[in-house]
Amino acid sequence: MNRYFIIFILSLIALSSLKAQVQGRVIDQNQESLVAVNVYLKNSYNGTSTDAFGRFSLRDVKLGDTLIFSMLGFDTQTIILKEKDLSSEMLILMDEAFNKLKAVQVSAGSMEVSDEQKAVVLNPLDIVTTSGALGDVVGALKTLPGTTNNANDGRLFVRGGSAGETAIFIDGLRLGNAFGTSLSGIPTRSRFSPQLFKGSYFSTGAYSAEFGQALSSVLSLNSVDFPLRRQTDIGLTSVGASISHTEIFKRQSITSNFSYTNLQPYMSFVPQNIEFMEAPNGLSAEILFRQKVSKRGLFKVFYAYQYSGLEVLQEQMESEEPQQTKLNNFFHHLNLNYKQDLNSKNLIDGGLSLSSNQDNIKLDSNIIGQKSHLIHGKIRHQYFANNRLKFKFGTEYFQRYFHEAFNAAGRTFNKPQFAAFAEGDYHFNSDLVLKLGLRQAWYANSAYLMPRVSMAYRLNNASSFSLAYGDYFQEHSPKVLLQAENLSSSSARHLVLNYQFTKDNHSFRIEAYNKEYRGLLRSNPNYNAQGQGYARGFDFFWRNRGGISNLDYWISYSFIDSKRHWRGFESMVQPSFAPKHNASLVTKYWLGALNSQIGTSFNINNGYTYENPNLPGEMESRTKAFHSLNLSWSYLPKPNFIIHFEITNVLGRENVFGYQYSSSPNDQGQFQQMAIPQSAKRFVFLGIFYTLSSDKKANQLNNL
Amino acid sequence: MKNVMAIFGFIFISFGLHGQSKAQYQSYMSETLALYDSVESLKDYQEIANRLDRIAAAESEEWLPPYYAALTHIYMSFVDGIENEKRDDYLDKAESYVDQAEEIIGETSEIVLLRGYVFMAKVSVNPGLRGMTLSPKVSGLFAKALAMDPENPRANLMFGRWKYGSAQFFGSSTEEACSYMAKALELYQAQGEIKSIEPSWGENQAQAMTNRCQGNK
Repeated sequence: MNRYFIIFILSLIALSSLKAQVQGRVIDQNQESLVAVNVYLKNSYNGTSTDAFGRFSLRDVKLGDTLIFSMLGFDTQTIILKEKDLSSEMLILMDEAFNKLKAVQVSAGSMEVSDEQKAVVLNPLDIVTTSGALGDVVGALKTLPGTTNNANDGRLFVRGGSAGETAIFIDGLRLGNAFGTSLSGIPTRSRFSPQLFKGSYFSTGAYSAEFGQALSSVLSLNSVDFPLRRQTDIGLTSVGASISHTEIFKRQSITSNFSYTNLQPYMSFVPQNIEFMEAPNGLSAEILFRQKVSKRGLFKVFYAYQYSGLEVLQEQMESEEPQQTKLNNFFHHLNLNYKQDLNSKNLIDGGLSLSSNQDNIKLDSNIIGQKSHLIHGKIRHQYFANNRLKFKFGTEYFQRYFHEAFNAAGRTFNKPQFAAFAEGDYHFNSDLVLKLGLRQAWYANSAYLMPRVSMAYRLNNASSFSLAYGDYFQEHSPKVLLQAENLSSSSARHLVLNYQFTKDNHSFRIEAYNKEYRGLLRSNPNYNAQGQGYARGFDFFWRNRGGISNLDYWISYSFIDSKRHWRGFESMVQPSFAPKHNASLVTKYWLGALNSQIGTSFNINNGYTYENPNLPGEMESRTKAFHSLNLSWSYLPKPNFIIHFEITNVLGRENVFGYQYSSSPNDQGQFQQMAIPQSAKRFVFLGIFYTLSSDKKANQLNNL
Repeated sequence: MKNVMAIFGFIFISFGLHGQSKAQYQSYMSETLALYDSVESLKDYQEIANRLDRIAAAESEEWLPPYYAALTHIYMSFVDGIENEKRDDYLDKAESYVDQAEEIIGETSEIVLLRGYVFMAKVSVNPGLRGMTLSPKVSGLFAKALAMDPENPRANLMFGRWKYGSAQFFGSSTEEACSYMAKALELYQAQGEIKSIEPSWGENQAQAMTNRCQGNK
């Protein structure tokens, strides 16, 4: 055989499958050339990148080959080569990819605490480094727009709503008795340490259909998914001590946390306005367990136990004898949560939580017992139809149990509630999103339907508008329902308009809102749900990080115009917890030379309304302005060692929260008054925190 | 006989152009990695990344293409004059390549280290905002990489570099940090020049950091 013939045949085989060439140009929607686009033959090394003019040429291709054009930030184009592609210039148009993370989001009413760069409001560390917050999760939130500072209460009051109108969730499950039980005039704190949480979502109005049983606000805290390393944290403070340890296994982790608090030694140094027979003291233990399940599932267990006790002698208006009150509180919370990615389009999560709270109160010689349980079960399915369209469905079950005992007599409340929700959100493009939601709740033979609508429109890279509307229902407290079983629910209708501007390290947001209340509790002539009210106003927030070197600060201001016809009042009154003008300034300055962060916060409002029986009208008076300047100093000689010092109300302002009056007038016909002060003028805190871990320099900042 | 060999050779080449042989993978990777030496602009990095991306797509069983694609994207995020948002895009892409490499080879010291490098670069995009929250993650990953292979020069280098940065921030002694960098340099020198496509980057950095450490004394 002629060997040249063989070579010729083989060459033909080789040539028939190769040797054509394509060339062309790649452009975007604006006809601009795209540079360094990856152009290649599918499943081969054969490829090239476009040049500075968007041009490419690729050899060794043939008819029917699949050519791929890919570039970060653009949708990948796949083209099967046709006759004309081989014979003439190709012109490839690439569309900018729709990126959900970069698309506009509804920000009306909501403030996210996250460590993403675009988080406009706070990051998780702000929660612990805001001075005056004293390590309380909600402490830092009280410097945000929409909140009012009621320093003698300690709970979260939002836009003219009472504290009971804010619901707190951990991993989507409701936390019952989220604040420790306290006595009137002694501020309480939220129960858990900020270091348990990695981020949170705080809404001051018009929130998603996923949340119910809250008229004004929700705070949703997300616990840490999986800790990074084995470590031990030790804290020693002027009011107690704590120790925490995290152990990590291949697929599990376990964190346990113990702390003991006793203000006795502290109170012997720092004078109090209240006489304590037993200084506030407490014990708490927490266990967090994490188990990775299969490839994309995570099971979380959180259990907490807390005990607290105190006893006080409080002066009474018309009695020589002070009132003696002793309080013991026992609290358990169990939170089971499971999350599973079924596939790239479906995510299921759900869980069950149980909160149990027992208060034993001894009031002079009477014994009052209060026991409440809250069970919340929830299951949620999220379906990502495509990257523009997302649905969320879920059902919920609540069981509320309340038992009240007075000496030997007692009564019990125990009722379930059910709810279902569905919500869809659709991005028309990167600049426009619409969200529609519906929530239905069933309680005691009544059904409540709650529509929620929101949308956002982005004007340009830096600014956007959003608008949100929603209807909200909330049951009355079990304590009231024990006395008036058939009260219909209270409701609120929210409308929120928001404008937000974020650029580099500045962020600004302004929000106007209107909230209409119906079905508020009235006690005149007896319990009914005929009360009504409104809250309207606006608030703004400005934050700048690093504009002035090493300085981070934010300012917020809230104007709240709120009146209610409720409780025993004859007319519309401004509630005592809703001052009209509220402002905060928070600063954090890193002083490198001293390895220290110096923080300040200043809160001010124009005073709390109260009723003076010597004057005509209801809630006609207002206390002098409240203000408090707080300072903190954190010294970090080493990354794993921190000394933290904090002092509240440095200026020693004698704040007053209202007045108590005698029940009958004196000889001159005047009712005598007694001011309701802060339980202590100042609070001084000193703590040292130390972390031990395999990485000796593990950061201690989380423990501030 | 010679001619028969030529024919076989020709056949081999023709088929080689269709399915990529191991040898071709090696040579194409070497050729690609050699391009690092002549990078002058972001576009040059992007071209390297494009080549690696093509190899990664064609060789779904090889972990090195996505590994180097991730590394290239980290380098891209450090190029001067890019907007922060773009830096984040590169780093998110880098992270997805790390995931891809990990799917293939598992969680090795090199993979954990590279993930730490991604997060370290994320911190450097906005240290004020991210430093405090992401630092524990970065140091955790570098410590883990070092624990998984204490003789990995890159793990010593990056762990040392990170410690050096935080020691400077806190104004404390850089001695411990420098000891890791010195060890890294020792390990680089002991292994000599590596001709394979296995990870070998970092020696120049280790040298520079060690010089800086000695200058401080």
